[in-house]
Amino acid sequence: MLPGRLFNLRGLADAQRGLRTRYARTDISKYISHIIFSVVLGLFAGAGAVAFHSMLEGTRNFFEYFNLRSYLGIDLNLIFIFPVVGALIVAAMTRYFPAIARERDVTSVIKSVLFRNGFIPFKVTLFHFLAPIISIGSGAPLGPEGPAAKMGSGLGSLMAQAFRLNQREMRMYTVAGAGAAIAAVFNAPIAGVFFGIEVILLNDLKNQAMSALVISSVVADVFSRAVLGNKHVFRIPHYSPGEVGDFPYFLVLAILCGAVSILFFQLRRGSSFLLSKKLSLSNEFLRLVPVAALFGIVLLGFHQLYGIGYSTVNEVLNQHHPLTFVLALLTLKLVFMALFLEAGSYGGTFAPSLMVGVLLGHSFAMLMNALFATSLDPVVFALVGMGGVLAGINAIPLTSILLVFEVTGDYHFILPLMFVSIIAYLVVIYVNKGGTYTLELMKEGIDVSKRGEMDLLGKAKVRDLRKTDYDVVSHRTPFRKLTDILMHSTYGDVFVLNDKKELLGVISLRQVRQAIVSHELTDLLIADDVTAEVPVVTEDDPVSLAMQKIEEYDLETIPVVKSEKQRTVTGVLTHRDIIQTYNRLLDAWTTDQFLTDSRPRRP
Amino acid sequence: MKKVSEYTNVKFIKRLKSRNKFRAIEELARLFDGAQVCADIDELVHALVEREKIMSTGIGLGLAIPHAKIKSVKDIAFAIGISKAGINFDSIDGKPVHLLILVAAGDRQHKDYLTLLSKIMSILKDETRRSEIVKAGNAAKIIDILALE
Repeated sequence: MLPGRLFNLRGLADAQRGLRTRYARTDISKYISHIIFSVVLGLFAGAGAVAFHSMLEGTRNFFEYFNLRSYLGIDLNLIFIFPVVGALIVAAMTRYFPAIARERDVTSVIKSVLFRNGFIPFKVTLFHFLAPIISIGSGAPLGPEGPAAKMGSGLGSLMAQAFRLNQREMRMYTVAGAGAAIAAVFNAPIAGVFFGIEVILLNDLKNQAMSALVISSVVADVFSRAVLGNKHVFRIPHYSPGEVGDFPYFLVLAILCGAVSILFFQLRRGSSFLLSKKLSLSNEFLRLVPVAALFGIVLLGFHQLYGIGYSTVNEVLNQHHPLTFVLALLTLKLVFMALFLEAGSYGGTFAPSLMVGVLLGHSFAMLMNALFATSLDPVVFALVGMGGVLAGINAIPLTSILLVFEVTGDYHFILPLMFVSIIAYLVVIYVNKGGTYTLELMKEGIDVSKRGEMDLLGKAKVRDLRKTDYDVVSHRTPFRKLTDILMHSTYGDVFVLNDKKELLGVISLRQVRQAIVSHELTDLLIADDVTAEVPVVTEDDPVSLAMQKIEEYDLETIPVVKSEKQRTVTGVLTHRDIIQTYNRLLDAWTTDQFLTDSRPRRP
Repeated sequence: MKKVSEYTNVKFIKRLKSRNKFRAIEELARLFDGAQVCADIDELVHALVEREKIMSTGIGLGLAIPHAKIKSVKDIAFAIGISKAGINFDSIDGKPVHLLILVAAGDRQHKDYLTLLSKIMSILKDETRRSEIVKAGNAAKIIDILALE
């Protein structure tokens, strides 16, 4: 028996080894691992979204207008204090963690996917999990989707780091995490997937993250529904879906949604100008606390503006407010959204867009009925307005249609919803010449308008490429000595400094060759006489900007200074180094884009 | 490039009264007033004086060439000042300056600026020409001397 058992055990071990080898050799292992990781990520993102939702609700309930009155006996007039308390905490967080605080909103997720292979440090995820809970929970009129996307992508990145997955996989799960969190926060799995595609992947439909995105979004939403219940946030009364004859009015509403979205962008620009330029406020407290205090005072008359505003949406849908009041809410909501975002609060624009859309659509129908004796149903116009403003402000038409459809759970108004969402989106794209996230990235020198021609140099910073082996001379240097320095200079040019050691300009060998050859000018000239003004870049500028200036001024090198105002030279960037970097980035990017698992990975 | 004499004209030539080098520079620079050369004469004077403070443009042999390159100069030009008495210019050789050539150029006229300075120098290193200019009876005569490049 013994030899037989031994034979059997050995046979079993051989069989296991064979199975393992066969498993490892076949693609099936990769697919199974991929599905498991996607499911795990979905569970993580779902749990994170539930925690986020619960803490946000808890904070909101704590500060809730009626709860304070009923349970705590707090004077209603004290309501204005809560946004201020929240602002103080959030401003302190920004103050003490400035680098982490800068990684705000959805664009930071896009950048981490584009440039850092999806790497997001856990401390960034944690910070952007807590800060919006405090700001939105204490009343800031912003939404949870930006922070949720940040949290979900952070969890995806964390999972990839914990399991030591490769860069491609880390990027994939970072994208999937963002979509999954959106799916769970809004109970909208399809919108979660499309959020990942439209926003994080910038409409890259062929991306490898697609399957992970779908699986994680489904799992996250199932988890969220299992814990929080399968309910819709909006209570929609009975309404009559749009008739064919209503479509001209829907067209007008769509244009209005686009116009209101553009107004919102203008308000953001205006708020930024007011806080940064007009009032020159750089202190986090001085920027945010007065805005919160002003908002608190406004809350005394318009407590419906408090927080995300889903309850206000329900109130408006059920026609509890007169037209003038709804219009006032609309105006104040837009103004304070812009002010809070520019003042440094934390939160997104999806949920507020839904509220603005409802207020706009509802008041539009009421106004039409009052002025032209039409019989437009304010409810359907409010629902459709949600999609219009969401698509306009965020430039995400598909996600908007699906999100509104999923959060309302109603299919009857899908046609006008699709129509208004896409027209509002087109109005904004026409006026702004680009989508919200594309333009935000463009401000930082990252051109993703055509992914195939992506501005690769936009992702490298001047700091990363600058060299310090540059030559400098005083502007008082006599020409004879200058010639000697130039002849032995590293790059064939020297930077000229004034008495305060600030950059005056540059002298290149090419420029003064004529003076050197003629000899006559040797005793007459000094460095100051032959200095040419030169464009500069700062360490934080993208290399693409340096390249643009080098080409414009036909330079070989460009000086790097501390700032445009403080022109102390800290380095030099050469045309040659930029070209080498471009080639390296192009090589890496091209390989990475088309690399499949069957091909050997680059070392 | 144009001939040296084409960068000046009889209106830009003057016998200087000032004995102080900075005042002499200003006196000469003011000749450009209303002549479509420089939009801001004060800025030009300031630039010339500041340059002079860094290192004297008195290059010896009784000659000084104060010069500046600034944005408000539309067209490169030069003025000629003659001082019979001589001006203390802290020149290399310590001798007083009798002939001042004031060159004003636009900030983007770098190449023409150096070429003009170089040509002026090559003309004036000839002692006979320098002496003829200083002794010339009128401005037109000076232009004629410069025209003989």
